[in-house]
Amino acid sequence: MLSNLQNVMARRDLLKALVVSELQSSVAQSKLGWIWWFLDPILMMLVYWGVVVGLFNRGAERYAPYPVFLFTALITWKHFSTAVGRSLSLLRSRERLIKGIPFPTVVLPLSVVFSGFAYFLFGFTVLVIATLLWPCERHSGALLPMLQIPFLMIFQLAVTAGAAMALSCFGVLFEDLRLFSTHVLRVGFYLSPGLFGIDLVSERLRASLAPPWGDAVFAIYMANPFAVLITGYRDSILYGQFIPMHWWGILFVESVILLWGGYRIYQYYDRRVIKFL
Amino acid sequence: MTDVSSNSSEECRSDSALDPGAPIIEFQDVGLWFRLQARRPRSLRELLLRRRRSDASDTRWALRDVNFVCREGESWGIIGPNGAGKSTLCLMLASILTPDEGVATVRGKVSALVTLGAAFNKALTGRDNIQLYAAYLGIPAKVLASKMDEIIDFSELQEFIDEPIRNYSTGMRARLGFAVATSLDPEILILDEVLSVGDRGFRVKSQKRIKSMMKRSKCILTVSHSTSFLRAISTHCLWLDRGSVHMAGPAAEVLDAYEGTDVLGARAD
Repeated sequence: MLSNLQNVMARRDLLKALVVSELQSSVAQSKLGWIWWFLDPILMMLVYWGVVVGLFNRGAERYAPYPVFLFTALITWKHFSTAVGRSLSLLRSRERLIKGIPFPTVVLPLSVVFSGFAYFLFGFTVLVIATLLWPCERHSGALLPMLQIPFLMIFQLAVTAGAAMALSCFGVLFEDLRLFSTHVLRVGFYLSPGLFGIDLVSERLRASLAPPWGDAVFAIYMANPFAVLITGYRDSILYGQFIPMHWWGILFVESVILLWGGYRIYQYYDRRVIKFL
Repeated sequence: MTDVSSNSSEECRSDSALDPGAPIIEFQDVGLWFRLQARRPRSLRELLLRRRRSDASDTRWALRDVNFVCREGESWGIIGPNGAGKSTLCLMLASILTPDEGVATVRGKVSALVTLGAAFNKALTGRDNIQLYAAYLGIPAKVLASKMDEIIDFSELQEFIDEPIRNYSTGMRARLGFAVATSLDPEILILDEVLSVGDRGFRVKSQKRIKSMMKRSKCILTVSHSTSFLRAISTHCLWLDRGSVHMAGPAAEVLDAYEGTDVLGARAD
């Protein structure tokens, strides 16, 4: 099997070259070059902010500073949704390459995840600057919770890589997945929670469901790793708070399952899927 | 060594790697099927709404019962009509595809000159693309650094090497691809109809390089429709027809028989 762990580790250079070439080509394909890496997330934030606050007049007070609150979810979700969206058509779009050169093809979905993570880091830099510009009144003043950020990033990478590896194979086997995924990903953003905080979810669930059910449904809601990740980033940067220990446990278990599962699925379909390209 | 066993058996044959006299390539009853595109579910809707068990009529054997052994110093030509399974065989030799039945053993580093330039990113410069292509081929960065000037010189693209390759002509891209792909000495060389790269001058130069690579490699497999070319370079020949071996043996014998067949008549069948 070409895409086994040993081969992938031996071809780290290829993974690095793919990520670098992706970043280089994004610079080469635009007049503003690397400025887009920062401009793109800022424009995205302004559009959502304009629509949600300007048009619907919501969220601004409860989640002030709302642009930063929103931006945290936007960049985190964009990393995942772009990686998943691209993975679904990835192997088909590289058919000539895959059938022309023997190499561990698993580096293709991984390179999409890592190059997307580089864009996420540029967005994160904008996020840190935005937080300094719009300090949050609810911030406890503690800087220690910022130490959670690298760990949250590792879990984000693991979850995204696992999903990208599995879906790159399924995208070849079931062509409709690509069309279906755009809608699922859009719902995922609103559920994750992109436009609001989990406090609102918990509040609404407890108000509308009888006592044990409200909490139970909320626990299921929090099984979404991005609900924990986005809330974790917000707590670390905006509010200076630590996230509960059991959330770390959930994130760890889910990351391991997704990463290992995604890798095993890719390993199983590795050469088989080439026949369907 | 790459030991490509069938997916079902996952048989391991690492012991043979220790035997110095072992063949470089060994195919034993190798078969590979494709599911017919029209009959497999291609969408989730089809999968969910039209559940039915797959049967033998869903699949077609692209190759079946392929047996051949290639030893060090041999040069094998692969001939046969279109759709005979020649390119599929090359994909298996390069370990890109694994057999569905039988065992395919390939001992050595394979260099497959099959599709040149498939790894290129058009937005990047020629120099960046050399690095990217070399990374795909597994050429270490240090080795590439020492060969960079030679690759650029061979491709005759010195003036344009820092230009994005979207501005290159098809021939220029093929020259660059050829220069990178042939920069390392392979143990096993697979050539699939890539001998006509670039203009006339470059073609002469590329054929000279292939000939020198052939001398240095342990064994060569060439896919071609040109019997005269195969007669000149091959010691052995494998004649494939409709996915199975029609004839295998010394080149002259197989090529004489191949040239003696009524091609039009065979096609009418």
